[in-house]
Amino acid sequence: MEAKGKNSRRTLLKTALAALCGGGLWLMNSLAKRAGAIPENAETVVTVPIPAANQIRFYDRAIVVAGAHELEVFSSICPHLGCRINRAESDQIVCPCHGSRFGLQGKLLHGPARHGLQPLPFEVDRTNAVLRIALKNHERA
Amino acid sequence: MRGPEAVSEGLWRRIPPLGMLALAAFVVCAFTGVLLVPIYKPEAALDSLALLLLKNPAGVFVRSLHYWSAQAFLVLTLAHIADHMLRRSETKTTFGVWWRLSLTVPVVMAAMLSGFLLRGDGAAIQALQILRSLLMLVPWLGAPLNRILTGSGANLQTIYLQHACTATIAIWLVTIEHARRILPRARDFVWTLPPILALSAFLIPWLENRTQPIAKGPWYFVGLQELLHWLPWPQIAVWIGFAGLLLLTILPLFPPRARAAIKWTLAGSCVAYAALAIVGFVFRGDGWRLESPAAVWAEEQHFVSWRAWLPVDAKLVATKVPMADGQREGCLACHAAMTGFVAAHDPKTIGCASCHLGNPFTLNKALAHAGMTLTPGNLSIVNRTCGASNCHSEVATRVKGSLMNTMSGVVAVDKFAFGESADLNAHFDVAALRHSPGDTHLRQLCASCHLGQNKDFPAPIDTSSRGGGCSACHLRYDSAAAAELEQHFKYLVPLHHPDVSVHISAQACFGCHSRSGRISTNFEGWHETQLDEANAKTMPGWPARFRLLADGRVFEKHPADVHFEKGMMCVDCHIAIEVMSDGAVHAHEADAVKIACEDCHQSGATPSREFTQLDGETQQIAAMRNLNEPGRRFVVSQSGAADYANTFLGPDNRPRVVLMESGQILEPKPAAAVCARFNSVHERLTCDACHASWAPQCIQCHTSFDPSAEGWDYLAGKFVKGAWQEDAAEYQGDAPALGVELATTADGKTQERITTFAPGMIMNLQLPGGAKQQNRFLRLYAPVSPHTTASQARDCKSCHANPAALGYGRGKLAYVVSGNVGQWQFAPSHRASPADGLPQDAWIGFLREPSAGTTTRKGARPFSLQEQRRILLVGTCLSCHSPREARVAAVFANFKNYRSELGPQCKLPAWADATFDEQLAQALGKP
Repeated sequence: MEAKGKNSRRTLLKTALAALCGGGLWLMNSLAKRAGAIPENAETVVTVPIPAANQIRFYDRAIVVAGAHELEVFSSICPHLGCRINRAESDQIVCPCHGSRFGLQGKLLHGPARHGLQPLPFEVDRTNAVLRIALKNHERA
Repeated sequence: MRGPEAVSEGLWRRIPPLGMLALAAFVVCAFTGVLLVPIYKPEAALDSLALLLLKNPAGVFVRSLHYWSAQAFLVLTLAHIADHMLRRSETKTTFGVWWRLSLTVPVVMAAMLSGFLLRGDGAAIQALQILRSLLMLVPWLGAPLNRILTGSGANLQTIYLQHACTATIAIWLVTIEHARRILPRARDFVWTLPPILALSAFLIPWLENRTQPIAKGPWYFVGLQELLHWLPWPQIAVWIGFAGLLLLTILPLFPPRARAAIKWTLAGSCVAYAALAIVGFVFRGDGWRLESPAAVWAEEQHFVSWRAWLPVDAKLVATKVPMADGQREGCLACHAAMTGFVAAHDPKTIGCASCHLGNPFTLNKALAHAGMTLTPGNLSIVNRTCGASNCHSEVATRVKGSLMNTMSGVVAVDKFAFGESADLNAHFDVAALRHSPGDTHLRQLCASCHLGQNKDFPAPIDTSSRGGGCSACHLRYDSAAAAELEQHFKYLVPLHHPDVSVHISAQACFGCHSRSGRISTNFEGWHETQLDEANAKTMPGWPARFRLLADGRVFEKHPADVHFEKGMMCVDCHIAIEVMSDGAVHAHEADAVKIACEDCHQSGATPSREFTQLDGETQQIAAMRNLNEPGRRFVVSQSGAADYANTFLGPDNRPRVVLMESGQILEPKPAAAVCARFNSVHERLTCDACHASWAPQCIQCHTSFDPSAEGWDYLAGKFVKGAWQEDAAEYQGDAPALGVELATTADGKTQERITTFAPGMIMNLQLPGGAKQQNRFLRLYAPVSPHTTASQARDCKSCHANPAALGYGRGKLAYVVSGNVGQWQFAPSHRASPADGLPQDAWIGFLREPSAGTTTRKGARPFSLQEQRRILLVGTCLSCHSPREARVAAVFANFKNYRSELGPQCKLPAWADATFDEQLAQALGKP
């Protein structure tokens, strides 16, 4: 009886501890979820200068590729594992973390990424020589 | 047991168990972590660590201890697990303890990784993104795990608390249960502390500077990083990790044979992981390419020397360290007073280390200057400096492929001359030269003009100091900067930086382009002589008539180019897209040229665009030069391939050119009416054909190899056995020859055009080969734009009755009439070369069909016999008549029917027969 009682007490303690840990994790997750729901950076449009022809400019969250007379804007978040892409070599955009390579039209040239770069909507303001890039709904965590 | 084995065995027994050593390292790590708490700010991680490195030598040492004790803890823990496996002790403990210990392994790895993330530098931010992405791949629990472990956004508060509290407590609790001790014994510290202290003192972990070209994780996760590069789905890595952990956790539940198999599997996986880690850590370099370990090491900065925890000058510590480009810039504590920058390159904006590398996170001079460069423009490091990702990476890539860097055309022609390549348009890179006779000739005599030639010390470009990549052109020394440089940084801290901007001086071009075609010296009106300084000083007219260059060559005054006389410099015409390359591969410089004389000297309407329609690079340059006035229309090249930033239409719709040097505005004149008068026959002529007043011409050269002498190899940067030597017998500076080259039109078609040629090589080439030395005689002319433009064009006779213009060489060309026929006669002034029987300065034989292979360009050629005769037929008329005579002008205007206009006194050459007339009519019909 004594042993059985000891085991029951231990089981109770273990169960209580597990429940406490589980509850704590649930609480932490809920709190973090609520904190994450508040947009930390409300900026959804960034304004950057129009780059020179045949130039590639890297910003925190966008890559601007200027051809001879055309412009394209992509998310700088690598579709592989979310690294910030910040390197170009000749006519390729290179991820510094795992070496994925993309063409200047954002097309995937070489993995490990499995998709091309995410195009971002933008508008050109020639008067002020700037681009307004919309970031909303195009960012990963 | 006695003897050495016994001693060894005794020593081995005295070493405490690995687990206890790991615990000792963990305690040191936890203790030093607590010491860092008041200093570290998770909401401004990078800045708090930067300030610690800059101003807190004691903190630097504590952080180093924290780092190295953590590494020691990890290594000892892994060794301890391996030791348990080897001793088969997984069954000697209860399963409960075993699974808790097994699950602590990922906690240890998480504690280590979170320590790396808490640096908050570039690599840490990238690693955090990867961690978050991988956590999200965990089925069902991904999102909660991500939130609980890493929080959200850029604030590292959650990670900091998980690192400092959760992981630490979890590891300690499990260790206490396993080791049945709270703290290690004193002797465990005795064995653990000395190596940790030594490493902490001499290899101090640093922060990543923004110039690092590749983002690498910590050494224990570089294997995973490499694995993720190879795996088609990153989920596989997550599952591999889970599988390994599961196998370890349930290991005691298996029978002995299966346990051995699992252990072998885990051991094999560890070996494979180590191999991946070595590849990633040692061989992965810029652009994720595999490079030599030395190159990778040079690109990365992981540790600094013991100097980091030396006390810093109290005055400096009291100085506020400014921020630049989002991070503390220790360099500015001393160099904030430096002047001479345009706004874009102001160190207050971009810092110093962005260009000059070095270490911005220290106030110790020696440490700050370790790894820095005084010549950041060098193309060997340009990816980390001017060509860094957010600066001029695209331009740097273009420049690397430009002819100024590859020297492809120079190499192709040289190797053609040496018989090492048959294709004059083959593509080469001077940096990839090997050691053939042609290669060594280029290495010793040509490679100093290679733009990629590293410059070791800053200096303006001149004829004795070239190379240096971007800085070769974009560094401009004003008097203050030049004076400071002259005194070799005599001042404690230099105060005047040369200008780094689009203001390119002619001097930058002069360093290299005063050689070979000598375009820069021609342009300024100087012709090279064979005098040395001593002889020149004895000449009448010294010094006004002569110019001594830094490399010792003496030049004599000749007519300067009219554009130079007007104050123009090279970059007033040669725009960025052609000088720095348009990104395409060109065989020769002439192929890369996009501008033309007609762009400014058009007699009709000049094509133009508004500022907003210009290509971005031109817009940028125009804006930097404050030329983008509203409503201004900028001139576009006739080829349509380039826009001008400095040339726009005036109120009269004629072009205006703003000069780089003086800011003066020129109004180029339209082409003279005469340029269009004989359009049907002369439309193949380039402007140079008539307006190039002279070209330097070097004949009777002798190039030989002296195997016993020492030569300087510019690529290797050292003296080598055997030297190439060049001697010239004669320099001439008179009107160039004319010939035919193949040019590509704006619509991509090729067409022949008549232009100026000069002797590229009339040369005896003595190849190395000991007793069997080979001699080659070369007679190759090169199409050249000599940049000696004169307003006054050469007259008709100077082409149509000039032996030098036709390629026969200098001498007397006369039309002699005898009876009813005339005959052209030529008496050369130079004796015949024994090698081919032609006069030494000639290109072709007099009124002979030229042989093939007489030029340095594919498709270029001297005049054919038919063309020579056509030219000389006009010369025949001019031998008696002036072109100003109305009747003669009428003949020339309708030259197809010249015979109908002949008078009775006109005596034609015998070859001007019916067949000739037919061919002439055909040629004039289809020029």
